Amino acid sequence: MYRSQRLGLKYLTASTVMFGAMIVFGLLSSIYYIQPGFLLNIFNFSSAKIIHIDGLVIWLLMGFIGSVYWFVPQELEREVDGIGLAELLFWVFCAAVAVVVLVLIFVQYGAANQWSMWFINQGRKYVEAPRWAAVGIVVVAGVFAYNVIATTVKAGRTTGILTVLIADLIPLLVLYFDAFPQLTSMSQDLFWWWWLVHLWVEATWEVLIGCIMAWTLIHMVGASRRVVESWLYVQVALVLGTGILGLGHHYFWIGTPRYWFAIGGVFSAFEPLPLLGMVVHAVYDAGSRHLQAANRPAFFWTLAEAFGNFLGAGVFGFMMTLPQINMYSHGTQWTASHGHFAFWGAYGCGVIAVLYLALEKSRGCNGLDGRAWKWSFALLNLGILGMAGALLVAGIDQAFFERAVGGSTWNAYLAMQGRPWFIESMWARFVFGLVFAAGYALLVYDLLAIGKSQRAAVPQVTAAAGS
Amino acid sequence: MTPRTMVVTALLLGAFVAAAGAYGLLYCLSRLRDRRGLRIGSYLSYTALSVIAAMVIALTPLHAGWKVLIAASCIAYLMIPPVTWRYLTRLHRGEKKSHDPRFAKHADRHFADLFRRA
Repeated sequence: MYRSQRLGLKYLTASTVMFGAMIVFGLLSSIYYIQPGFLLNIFNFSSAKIIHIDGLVIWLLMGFIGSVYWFVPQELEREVDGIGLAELLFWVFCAAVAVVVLVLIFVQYGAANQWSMWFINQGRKYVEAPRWAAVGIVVVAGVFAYNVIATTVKAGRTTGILTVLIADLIPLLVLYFDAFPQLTSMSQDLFWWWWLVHLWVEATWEVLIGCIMAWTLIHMVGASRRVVESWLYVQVALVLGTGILGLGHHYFWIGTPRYWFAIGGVFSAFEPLPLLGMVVHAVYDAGSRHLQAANRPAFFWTLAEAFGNFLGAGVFGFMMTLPQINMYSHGTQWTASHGHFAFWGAYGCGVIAVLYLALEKSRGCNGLDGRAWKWSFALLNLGILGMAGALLVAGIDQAFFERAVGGSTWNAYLAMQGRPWFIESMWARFVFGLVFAAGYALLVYDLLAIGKSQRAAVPQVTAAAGS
Repeated sequence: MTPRTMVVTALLLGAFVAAAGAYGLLYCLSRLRDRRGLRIGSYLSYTALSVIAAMVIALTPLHAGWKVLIAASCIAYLMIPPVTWRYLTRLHRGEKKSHDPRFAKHADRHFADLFRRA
């Protein structure tokens, strides 16, 4: 195994830990909706939510970085250039994440001054990490991009997937600089902030996961590189074609000109089209292999990625994206429902697929299977479906009574919190959150155990054959 | 737009994309398995998709531009599964033997059957 692959495993492990932290703080966030006085003035909802959503970004980012460090040396058949620096930065990254989480738990917030921004909280959703940590993320992303590009240059050759990845890493890094401006106009601030949030999630991350899934298909089921790369080009063109200007659906109510209604609505309506193509591809591949693969967990998580992406981003997204609907649904639990399902489908499932693939190789197994992964697969997907469903009901109730009937007033907001459908949905979300957490616990157990008995059995069989 | 029509419109839009997904899924399964029931299921899903599109156009207070977009999407959804399928089949036609001989054998036989049927 290459050093880079060992580093990839470390990143994937750290990603799994952050996944757990995200679930813990997500569960905590859900309690405030059913017990509004919970931990009042000790650990408020806003702090729990910050760690929940920032944890989401970090676990996926670590999962992507780990996946790339895992695949790149296999792709180029050489060690990654600058691996020592990358290893050092992994520990720096983990330490920085730990410090930020501790600060967000114990300090939480500060006065509205430069000190707070640099050392406590930047105050911008999804990029709340204090500025020193944001600088650290730029350094990690920069070294990561250098590792991939320099290795490719030194290898003197490239592949289609690697070329797409390199082309993607540059905007991935550059867009993160949008986390830094200090604009006093809320409209201007949100205008640029969406460049970071939307263009990361619905453009550069889509391409990144596309590359990772392409490698996964090659290594998992021996898919032809020519086929995978051709499909990757088509998907990247479609996803970027619809996703970049799909940015407009975030510009509806922030003070931007009216033409964003048309741009955002039209391109958002196009966004489910490539997702349907992905479903067709997934069914084609799964059917042609009769749902059989040596690494069954990785195979099924890959399938879940295609379907989850379509349902979460496509169906749940299109329901609320046209401006006339979005005027009422924007910022309600409806958005949270779409966000939970789409992130899980588009990215979470993909990272878990790579985890199983990397474990198979690192533990020297020839395929993986068992019972625990099936239970964790079922519980995690049932949990997310239940949470997304409960949030959808709460969101529709909110859009109907608080926004459309109540006129979005403060009174309507408060009255909404006491409505039975809203409260019951919040309970349902909490219960399904527990189901999801149980699925995570089983996933961790399975990741620790799977394949170890198979590896132990190999020398015994060999010894028996020798005697 | 009244609160009720807002919710109905949103649910119809969600059902519209969900029906497109059901159509795509059943279309692929019918091509893979060559079963009449699946083929009929895919036709029914597309019929449901068209009916939902017609309901969005006729019953909801969306602006005319969005209704045109829904009608155009309805046609696009009809094309996507067969066009993607044909593209994937053509791509796999030139596929060399995969790394794992077990799967390669299955895949080759399966695709050979598909081409023969086509």
